[in-house]
Amino acid sequence: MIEKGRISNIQSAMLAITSLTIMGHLIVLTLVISHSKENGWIAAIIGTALGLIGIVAVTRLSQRFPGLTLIEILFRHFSWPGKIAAIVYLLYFFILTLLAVRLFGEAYKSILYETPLTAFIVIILLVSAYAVYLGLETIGRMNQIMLPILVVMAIVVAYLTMPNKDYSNLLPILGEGWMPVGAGALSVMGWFGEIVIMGMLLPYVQKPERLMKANLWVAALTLIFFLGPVTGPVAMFGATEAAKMTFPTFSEVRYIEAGEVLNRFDAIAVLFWTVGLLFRISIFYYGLCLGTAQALKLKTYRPLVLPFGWLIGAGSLWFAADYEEIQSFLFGVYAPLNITMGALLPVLLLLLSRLIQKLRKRKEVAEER
Amino acid sequence: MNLLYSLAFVALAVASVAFQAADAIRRKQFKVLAAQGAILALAIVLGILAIYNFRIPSMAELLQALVPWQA
Repeated sequence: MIEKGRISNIQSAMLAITSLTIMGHLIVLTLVISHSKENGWIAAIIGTALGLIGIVAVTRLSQRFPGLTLIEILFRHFSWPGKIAAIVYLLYFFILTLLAVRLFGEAYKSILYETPLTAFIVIILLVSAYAVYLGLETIGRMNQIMLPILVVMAIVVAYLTMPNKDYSNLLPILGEGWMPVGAGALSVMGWFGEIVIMGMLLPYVQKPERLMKANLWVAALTLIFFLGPVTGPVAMFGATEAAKMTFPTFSEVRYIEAGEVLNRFDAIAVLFWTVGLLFRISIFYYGLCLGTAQALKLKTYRPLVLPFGWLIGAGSLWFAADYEEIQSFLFGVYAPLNITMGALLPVLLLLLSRLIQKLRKRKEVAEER
Repeated sequence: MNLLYSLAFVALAVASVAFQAADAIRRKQFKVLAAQGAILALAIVLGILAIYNFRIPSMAELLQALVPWQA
């Protein structure tokens, strides 16, 4: 086994929550508000319910093949189609790492206009590469310290924005019917599809038999952490204005005024992005390195960390020409890509593994006769 | 200037991996060396393309072309 470290079920759940929540705040929020407007919260609830398909499939798959990562499962148990699927999964992890790195750069660029994008990319990659090099335990423990701090800060920020909010902006409920809500729900479902990266981490949790409970909690808590941001900007600016914003939560936080001194809470939003994206990038970067090392049957993934760092850095610049292109990617490709990789494929793999097992048992019985 | 940036990029990329590559050679782990070389080569190509600002279809564009319902 390449990875020697072990993380607790809580650490694994917390990693999933951080990774999902930050993406929710940065991009999924914009997608959901654009599609579903004031009914974004309904889309979030339905989307989470649909997202459970992928979560349950990935967890069951991991429990079915204990101690094996998604890439190992595909390489060892699904013959050549599995190998192709494993390579596609590695590409998917690579694409999502590029997206996260680029989003980090773009988010900072929206505040520090004159600093080159490359500077932000280099900084986040240096930190992530170090975290990935140190291993899963380090990432898990670091996140266990940071996530509660972020949650407390988010609660404080949500409380301080209350005076500027008018929740009647969330009405009418289902004013434009189910179609906009459906489109938003699919974006949320796609977002939950990202949890397939946990297929690279779940084999290293201490109590795999309790994974399902932990992962269902992940879905519930992520939904709770998403409901605030999906309703907040709509309540503050109205659905039409909120849908036009690049980073709605950031705009919301800028309106906080707590007395005469505490009125620049932007730094908290930026801290949230930085820490959240650091963990998200580290998890996907780790999955990419570990998966590649397992596919090539190497003894350790560490020699691949730096080469992949360079590739991710250069690739994130190539990922999109500008933010417009990233947005069209998010609106056109993000949801279908994640639904395919995070829900449809895991379900298919789970069904196939059951079928293969049944056929093998039948063959064994026939041979015994 | 672009040439200087490109040379610096290549030098830094190779230097950062040099120790681990040397270790892989010493331990005769040629598969590791090949993987490092391939990944780094791809990174260098992409890096130089980015430095020279060559207009090639970005990954976002390529993926959008793959989605059937996109124009």
